[in-house]
Amino acid sequence: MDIFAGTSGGLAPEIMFGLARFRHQVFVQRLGWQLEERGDGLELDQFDRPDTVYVVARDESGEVAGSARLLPTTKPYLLGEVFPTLLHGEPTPRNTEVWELSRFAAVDFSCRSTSALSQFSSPIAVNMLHAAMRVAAERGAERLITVSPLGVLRLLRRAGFHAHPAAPPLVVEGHPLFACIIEIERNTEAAH
Amino acid sequence: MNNTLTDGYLRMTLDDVLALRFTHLISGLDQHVDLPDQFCGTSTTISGYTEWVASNDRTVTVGWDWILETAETGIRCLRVGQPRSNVLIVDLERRPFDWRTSEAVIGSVVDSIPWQESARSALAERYA
Repeated sequence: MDIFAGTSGGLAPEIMFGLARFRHQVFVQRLGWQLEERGDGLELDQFDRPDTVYVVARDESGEVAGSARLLPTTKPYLLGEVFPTLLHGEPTPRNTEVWELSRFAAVDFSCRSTSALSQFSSPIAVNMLHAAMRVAAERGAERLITVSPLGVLRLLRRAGFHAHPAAPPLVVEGHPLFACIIEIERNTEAAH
Repeated sequence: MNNTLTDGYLRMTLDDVLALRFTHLISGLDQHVDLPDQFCGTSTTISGYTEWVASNDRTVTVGWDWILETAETGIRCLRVGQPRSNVLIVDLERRPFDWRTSEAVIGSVVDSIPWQESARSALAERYA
């Protein structure tokens, strides 16, 4: 398993292509997210910019097996632009210490589950998150903020991450959705 | 320029937390996982989550996992693990507790709430 990190200008074109195709497979095809379809089997949106930072895992066969997208909250980001209501009227963070984590997935495609948590079905999920935290920390982040269903928050905590809600959840179609904070702890950083 | 949200925690003293009136928001069951060797009569685990907000401070959220446990006296619904909350307990000098200690303290507060009946009613309604 190899993990690559960088902006679109710094990553090889085949990695970026594999990443966009992987995101489509996971978020559109498997999870059924209602995202704007480009018609080419790739998933990209307005937050995929030249300054966006990606973390990409590739397996032994060279296929993308994990993805993460990191955005500074000092520029437009998903929660701030699309999900500000998750903070219940509080201002969305605009802070060099806070980066947003989105499009996070580490999927075992042999697992047939289509649950919202299947984006974490691969055992590399924890390593991917540590890598994302390390990459964000290198850029000044002290914590990540992410839009997460409750199940993800529970998984993060069971895996030992210091994660907590930033505000009460919104219940969407019967499922709690949170703005979730993941602290980048120095001891965790050092261990991985 | 940075705006105010730093770690997303609401800093509250224990007295502040004890003054909160918690209201049930939603509870749910964990999805059953199919195991290859399951058959009728094997033991299983019923678990889930419950989420609450403070009715007198709508910015406060606290939730926790639970498990059903059978005992001689009947079936009990027990909190499992520490609560997850956006509250960080501070002392009277506003110095924050370590987050693990804070969660343990919040857990003690949660354990004094008769939450089981609200969760049970919500589950019965949701999965009827």
